[in-house]
Amino acid sequence: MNEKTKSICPVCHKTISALRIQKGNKIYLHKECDLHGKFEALLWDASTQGGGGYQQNSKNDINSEECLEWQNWTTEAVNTIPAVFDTKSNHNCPHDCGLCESHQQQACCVLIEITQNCDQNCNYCFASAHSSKGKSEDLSLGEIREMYASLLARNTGRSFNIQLSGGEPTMREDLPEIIRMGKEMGFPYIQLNTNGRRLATDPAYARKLHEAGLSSVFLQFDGTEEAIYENIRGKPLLELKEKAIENCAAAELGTVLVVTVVPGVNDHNLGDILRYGIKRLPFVRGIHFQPVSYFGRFPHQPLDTDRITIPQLIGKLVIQSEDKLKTNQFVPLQTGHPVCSFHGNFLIMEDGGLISLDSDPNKCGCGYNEDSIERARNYIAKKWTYKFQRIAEKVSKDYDYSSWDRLLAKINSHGFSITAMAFQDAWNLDLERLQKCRVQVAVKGNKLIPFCAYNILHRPNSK
Amino acid sequence: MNSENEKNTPWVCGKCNSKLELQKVKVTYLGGSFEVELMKCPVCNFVFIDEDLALGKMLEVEKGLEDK
Repeated sequence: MNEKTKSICPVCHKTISALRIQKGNKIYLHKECDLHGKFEALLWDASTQGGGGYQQNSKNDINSEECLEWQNWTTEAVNTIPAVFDTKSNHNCPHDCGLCESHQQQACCVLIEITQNCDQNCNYCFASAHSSKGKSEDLSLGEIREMYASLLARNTGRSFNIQLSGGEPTMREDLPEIIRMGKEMGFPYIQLNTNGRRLATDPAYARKLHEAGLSSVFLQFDGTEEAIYENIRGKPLLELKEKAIENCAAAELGTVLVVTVVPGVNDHNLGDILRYGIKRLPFVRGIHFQPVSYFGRFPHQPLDTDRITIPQLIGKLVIQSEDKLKTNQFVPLQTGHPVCSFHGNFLIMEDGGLISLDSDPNKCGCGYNEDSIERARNYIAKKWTYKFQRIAEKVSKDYDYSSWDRLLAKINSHGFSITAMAFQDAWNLDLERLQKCRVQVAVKGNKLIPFCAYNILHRPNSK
Repeated sequence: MNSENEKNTPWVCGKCNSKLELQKVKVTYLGGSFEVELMKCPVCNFVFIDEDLALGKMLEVEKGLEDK
């Protein structure tokens, strides 16, 4: 395989030609800048050695492993062209952003960074956020209202899912007001991206956010061992995370555990994270893995061993699930680009068994049409929101079918999603992928920028 | 669902002429087994699903399981 694409020079950020090259079961991105030389980045590792291929000790059959091979995984997604473009394309992607005519995908989720301040000082941070208060000027309530209105005006159908992000959004005292305003203006799903510190220390806070209309908490959660937090966040935080989940549960607020996966730091802990989440059903709605990406001026080209690609992540997860999971239960999302993500949805049975709720990957896409991005928005909202379901006493005029209602309630409460989003950095950026990005950041001037482009190039403090 | 009276239904099995009863039935879908109550012939075990249920709760369960 030798496929042409485009990328950027990780040093000067100039747009340059690139090639996807296959070496065995691995795919690499090769590129060369006139000034800064040659670069190589690992994109995909489905080899046994990388943890992504067929495992000798696994009960998975070999056919299910084949779906992790690049050619089998990268089926065409169903893209929905943005209804509004922000700028003209000068054929200089990704420097042209906001969205231009080169972009082929509407957003599923739009991020709004409501503050750049943060009360943590992490070793890994997309946002390079400030650890002390007051260093940067946050969006005003009026500016956020204008942003909401502009997002609603972009399409006539089901509006975007919103993620309130930062910085650490709970540092803003008016967060409940920001949530309430968004819900009142017409966004059905608003999630909060948080480190959980405030939720843990103030039990009444989760209730306040829930009452304001918050749909779900996207909780930074790196593992079930303190050593992991000490490595990634610089301090032990497990107790704090537990308390945050507990307080959200008391407020009937669903949480999604968001795991930054760093090779050698927490990739041994994926099975335990899975079991930890399942144990806390129905309030923990799922786990969302984010393989580490190297934003900012990383001191050297990341090695293969610095990365964990999607087949490696699935392979490790399957092995560490003690064969409760199978590789073919995970499929790329229907929208966006297949190499950016995967998802698997399960029903957790009383005996601890997992039933996969997703149909055969070969069938994916059938029945999906131009509203697929709207389906995706609804799908995520449904999966990640906790909904209390009352069991009807009598549902039929003639018979008592409450056993069906109990089953329905079980499907809703014990449905559990395992998802992942692999972000790109300056080293492995593939513009074909970027142009199909479905996670976009709303910025001042009412423009949308694909998340990875924003973090590499367009974040105010990225240059 | 304990009393005999509650188990009675107005339907009769076409094959055995026995009155159908509401009974716990194991249904299997997408690899999972679930126990629900359905009208069943106590003689030949024929299970009857009426339209209300098929287009109501059962469809909801199906959609929930298929994730659509």
